[in-house]
Amino acid sequence: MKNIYIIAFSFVLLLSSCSEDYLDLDSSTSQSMDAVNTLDDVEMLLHGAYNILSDNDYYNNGYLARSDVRADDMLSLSSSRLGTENRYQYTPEKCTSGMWSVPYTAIRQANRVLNHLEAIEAVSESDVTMKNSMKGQALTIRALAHFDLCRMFGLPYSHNGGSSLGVPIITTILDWDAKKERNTVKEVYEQVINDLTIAIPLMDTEVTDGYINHWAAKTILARVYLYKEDNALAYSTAKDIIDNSPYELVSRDKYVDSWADDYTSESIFSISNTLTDNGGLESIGNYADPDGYYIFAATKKLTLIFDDADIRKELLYDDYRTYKYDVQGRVLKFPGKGNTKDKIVAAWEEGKTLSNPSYTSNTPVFRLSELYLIAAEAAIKEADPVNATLYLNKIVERADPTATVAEADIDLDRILLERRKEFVSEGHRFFDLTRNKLNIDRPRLTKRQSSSVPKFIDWNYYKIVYPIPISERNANPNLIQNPDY
Amino acid sequence: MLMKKRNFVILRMALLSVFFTFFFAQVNAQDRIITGNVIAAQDGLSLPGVSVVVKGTTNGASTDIDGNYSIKLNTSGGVLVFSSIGMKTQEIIIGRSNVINVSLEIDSKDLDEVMIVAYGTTKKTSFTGSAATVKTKDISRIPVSSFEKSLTGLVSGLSVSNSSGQPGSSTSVRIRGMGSFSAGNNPLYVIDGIPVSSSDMSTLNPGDIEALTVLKDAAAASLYGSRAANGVILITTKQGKAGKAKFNLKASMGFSDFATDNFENVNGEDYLTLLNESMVNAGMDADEIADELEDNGWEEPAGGFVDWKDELFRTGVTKNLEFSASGGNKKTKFYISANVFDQTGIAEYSDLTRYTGRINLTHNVNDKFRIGVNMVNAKTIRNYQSGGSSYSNPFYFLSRKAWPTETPYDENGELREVLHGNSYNIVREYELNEQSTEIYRSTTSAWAEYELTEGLTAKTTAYYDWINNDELDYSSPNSRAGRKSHGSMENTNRKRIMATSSSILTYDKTFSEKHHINVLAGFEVESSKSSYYRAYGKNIPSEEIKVLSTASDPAGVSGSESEKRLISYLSRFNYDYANKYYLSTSIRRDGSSKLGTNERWANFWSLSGSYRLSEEEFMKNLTFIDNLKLRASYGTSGNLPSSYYGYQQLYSYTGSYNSVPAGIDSQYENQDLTWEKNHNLSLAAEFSFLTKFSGSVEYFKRKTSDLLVSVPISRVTGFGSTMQNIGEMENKGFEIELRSENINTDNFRWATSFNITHVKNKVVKLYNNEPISGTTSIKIEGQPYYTFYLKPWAGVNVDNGKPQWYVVDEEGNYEYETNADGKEVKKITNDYGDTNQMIAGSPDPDFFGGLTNTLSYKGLELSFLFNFAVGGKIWYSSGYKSWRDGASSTSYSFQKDQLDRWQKPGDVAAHPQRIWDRDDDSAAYSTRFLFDNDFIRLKNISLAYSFPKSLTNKAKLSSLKVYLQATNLLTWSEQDLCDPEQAYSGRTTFEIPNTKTITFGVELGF
Repeated sequence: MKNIYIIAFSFVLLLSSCSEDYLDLDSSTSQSMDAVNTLDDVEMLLHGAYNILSDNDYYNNGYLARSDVRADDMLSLSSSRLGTENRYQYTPEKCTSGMWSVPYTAIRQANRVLNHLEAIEAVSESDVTMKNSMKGQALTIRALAHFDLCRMFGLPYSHNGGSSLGVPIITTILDWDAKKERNTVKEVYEQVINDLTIAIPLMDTEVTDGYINHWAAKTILARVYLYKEDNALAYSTAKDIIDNSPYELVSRDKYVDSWADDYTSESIFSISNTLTDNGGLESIGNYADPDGYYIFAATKKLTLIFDDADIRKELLYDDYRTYKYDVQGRVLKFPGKGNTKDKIVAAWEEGKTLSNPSYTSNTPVFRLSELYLIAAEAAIKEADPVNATLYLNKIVERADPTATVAEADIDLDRILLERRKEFVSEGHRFFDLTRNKLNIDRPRLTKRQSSSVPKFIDWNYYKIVYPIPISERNANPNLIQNPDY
Repeated sequence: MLMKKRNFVILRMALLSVFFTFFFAQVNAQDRIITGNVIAAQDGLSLPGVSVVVKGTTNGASTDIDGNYSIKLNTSGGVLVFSSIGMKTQEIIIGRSNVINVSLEIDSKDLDEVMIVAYGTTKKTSFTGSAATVKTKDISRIPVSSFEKSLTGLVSGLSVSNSSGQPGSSTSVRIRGMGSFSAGNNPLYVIDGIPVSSSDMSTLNPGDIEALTVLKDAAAASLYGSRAANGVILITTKQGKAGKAKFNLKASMGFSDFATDNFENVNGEDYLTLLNESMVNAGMDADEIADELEDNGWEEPAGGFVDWKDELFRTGVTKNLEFSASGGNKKTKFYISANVFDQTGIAEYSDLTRYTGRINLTHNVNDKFRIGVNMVNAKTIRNYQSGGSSYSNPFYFLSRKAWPTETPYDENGELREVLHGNSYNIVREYELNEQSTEIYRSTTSAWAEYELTEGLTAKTTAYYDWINNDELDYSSPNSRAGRKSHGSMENTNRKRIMATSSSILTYDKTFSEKHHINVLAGFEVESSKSSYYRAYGKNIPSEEIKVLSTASDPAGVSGSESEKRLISYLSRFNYDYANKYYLSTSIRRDGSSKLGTNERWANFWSLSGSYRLSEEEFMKNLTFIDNLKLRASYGTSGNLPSSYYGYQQLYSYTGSYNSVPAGIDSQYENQDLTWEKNHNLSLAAEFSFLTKFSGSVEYFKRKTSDLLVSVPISRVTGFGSTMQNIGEMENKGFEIELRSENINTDNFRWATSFNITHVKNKVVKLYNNEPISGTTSIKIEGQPYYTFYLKPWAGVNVDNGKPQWYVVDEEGNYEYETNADGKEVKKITNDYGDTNQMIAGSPDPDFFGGLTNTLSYKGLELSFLFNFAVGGKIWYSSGYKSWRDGASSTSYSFQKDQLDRWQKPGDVAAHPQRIWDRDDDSAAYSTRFLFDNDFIRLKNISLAYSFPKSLTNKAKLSSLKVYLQATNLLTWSEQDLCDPEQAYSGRTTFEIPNTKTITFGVELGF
């Protein structure tokens, strides 16, 4: 009978050895909200927000390339990737939902950061500075995301004074079943300006490569004012940055190679990509790379707008293969870390590939050059050709010292032409046209261009704004669809 | 079938004999000793474990492994009773001779087949649940890497889908439909009593399987609680038998090819014809056409047009070699086996090699205490090509990209680097690159069993399973894929460790002869831990070196681990009265680490009963009825969410920004996350009559509530979806199984078995009752989970060759108009945008099943299995790329089916007029790509010959068999585009389709 007891005992032992907390397990790659207690913890969440900005549907590709292929200078060599945008084939059923969802992911993350910061008391001076700076960055990211969404899904402010529908403004953490309505463009702009106005004084005026600082927030503000046609404020904000920030325009002789650098003297904010952490094959660099996917290419027509002496023409790199459509080739703005044009040409001639692929390039989001052209555009709109000429020529002469524009020759078209040349493949052109009520004209140079690519887009065409994706409207019927979709 | 029954019998006999011998070993010296030998009348083979008893006494003996017995008599005469389960009992009057040899007849009336069920064994007659046993003989010769692949058509209610014809690819099994959206639909696999992961079945040598049982209803499966929602497959491996050691050697070799034509491309001449035609139709002039042809190199290559199928595919070869030895004595028994399985796939550079070794040992320490251990070690090495729409998937390339005008080799006979559209030349990539996995698995299960008192047994089992995967993804510096990185390699190591401990008490007792109870109580703990780490390096100096240390750029690392745990208490109570009434009830309480504290614990239960009408006195007169049994069961089982930490709010730290770790809000907290609950009802009648026919008819209804549904939520929240327990789904249907011994004479035997299943799946409830619609499918209440949702194709306009669709309003109803004859007809449009999606059918078949015939004449046996499915639809997923009617000709290949196109007014054609660069959505999603998918297939056929004893004895062999076996030999299918057996979703994929295999094999016993 002794054995019975031994066995019965071991049964009991087995039963009791497993208590309830045996079933409490935590993920190895994640932490719960309770684990976020210090400013250092929050800093990692702030990096999460930057990580979302660098998404391929956001600044590492989508928000730039998909905008450019809707305009006249860049085109898609694929019917799928970028093709939908290039051909204006998007519909509520068939569109890139990431354009809608990713900025909202960034907004949620920014709101998380703001909530956590709220709960942490900063005592020491360095903690207060750090807390303020993080709050400023989170607010700026939130503002940027709202502004970007509004550019994509709401009509330009200038079309009707912001009275059409923009996007829902989100400043809190929403429950999963929340169904928010769209705010007007005007309301979104007000929210953006409000966030930025709070954020700007909280942040550093030093250069902070790869991060948003005082000047980056101000740059967004200048751009917002320009889009809003608050030209005086756009002008004064841009002038403030030009006059007071530590940034300087890259010189002519360094201009072409500066694109191989991570940061230049005029990088106000660039998305940081590293050799191991980058957008990979689906990023804009690889899309533009003839050794990569090569579906984001400049049109042949683009070469015609540059004078030969213009340093920026150097960035238009001839395609070495015969492509039958209107393709010029690559714009060398995402060459890969350290890959200067010389290196790229040499590698091509030797049939080699460079060790840092094109997707390792940082993605410039705000450059000082933009402020000069914002100042110029705002000035001309305020009927101030003197200052318009002054700021325009800084950019014109940097590219070609002999091409100075006379005050008598300056007008909005001339300034937009300069923006076109300066910012090709950086995601500006489409908005420069539509917000100024200009049509998109893209004649074909060769006959056999696919007929699916529309040659002319009226500035008032309903597809200059994206549709709200059908999946989103199914989940949230309170969202009113854009007109005519 | 009879052979199989014998295996069970022998197993049981061996156990019994040990028992008997023990009890009767102490018998005192007696007057007279009778000896003899017992054989089976059927085949003359000796029968071990036959009980030999002097009638009316307790004096008895049993036969040894060679069928010999010896019994001492107290009296001078009497009657000897020879009995053995599965055999007709024989009584022989003891005469003058001291040698009595007996040959026992098989009792075909005997239904007391022993079956393996949850936590034990039972007699088939007394079982109250729904379970099916699979004869291992039916599957042991099918040359598959993993046994589930061979279950098709054998068991009612069970369907099998191979994701791919590549060696070692995974298999999905569904028992009685599907009960979950997201928590998995594969059954639970239990090997020798221990639940194991359903993946990696390829490390199990099918030759080691002794018995397979499929548990289908709540009564059979509920005891497995939270994991039993999708049914259970029990696997028992072979154990040794006392007696002379037996050795078996099996060897086979087979050859494979595509089972059917799949999305065949046009030949070169037709290719050029179609191109030209499309350009002419688009109004291009001769110069433009010439330019276009030249630009794309569209002309016959110097060496003739290319058939890419030949470049990418080959005849697959499967080789299998198995060796096993078993035996032992009364105390210790062993079974050991070794197996080498080697398969080269039909795609170049795809193969699988598996080595397994097993030792199963049992030892009786004394008459109460038994211990045992099962150990397996396996190693699988697999080379494969990517699937899906990866550039390196050969089937994708073949059916989507290949041009007959393009050769893989250039003028100098060198492999080209790139093909049209800058796509990689995969023939070259295959030569240079490598994707492989090595799996090591070591499984140990040790148990001890002690009989505490008569009828009360305690058994405790410890199980440890260790799986280690080493994966290599290598791109040569000279390949296109590796060119940019100067060669890259990624090494991934995955490890999974599963540990289980189980302690079970059982009590078995018969009271007053007629009341029999069996009670079980148990406790189990399980932990499963997975981890991986991965390293990625670039810049590799040479082709020859494939180790990470030589990569000069260490380009990335990652790794993580995750764990789940389960604690269970379980209990079962069985009662039966006079072999007539049976009652069974079970309860199990499970606690899982995957759920929050609110919902962590849940109870699962079942109640079932059966009634053997045929045991009633009034039925005894109906002698033609051998058995008639009614049974019913109801119960619950569960399904856990697949996510390990799904209930927690989390910041995920897998990303970084600017080389700083980045934490990203990754999911909503949901403390109410809980199990999916299955409620199973099963009603059945089992019957057998005239000793020839038997079968069962069964109705089942399986309702899943608290279904985990990924609810699409407004993206404005920052997330696209969240998991909620809100759905309901239902599967109901019936199963019929019929078996018939058509002819059963001494030399000739013909048996047929047939099964058919009808399952109707229906989504009952969704979040807010809102349908979840996609571009081609919809989940909507009242319709099956897989429901196609498409614009209806109205064919090609006979007059102008344009595509047409029926006009459907936003509610999905046809619109009608009055035609010229004044008739109401469906409205038709040329504009794809003018119409809407509608419910267009489901891939679920109305009926599926199998028909097996086995014919044997002396040593020769022919067996063949047809499987079939009727009423499902198949969606040709990639039609919108491959049937473009002239659009995107520079990107895609043309399929043969496209030849049936409109060319002139009056043509009734399947496909529109071919127009270069058309943009009228002719190939947009519509029912144009949806087809009926009825089929019948000769799944397996085998012809085997057993050499007669007289010959084998001369060769000192105990048995010798040769066989020829073929899989998927013939297929009759409603649609002729592709293989009819596809994924459950009814969507064609780019996975390599089913293959047909012809195998020759030899089996030796000595």
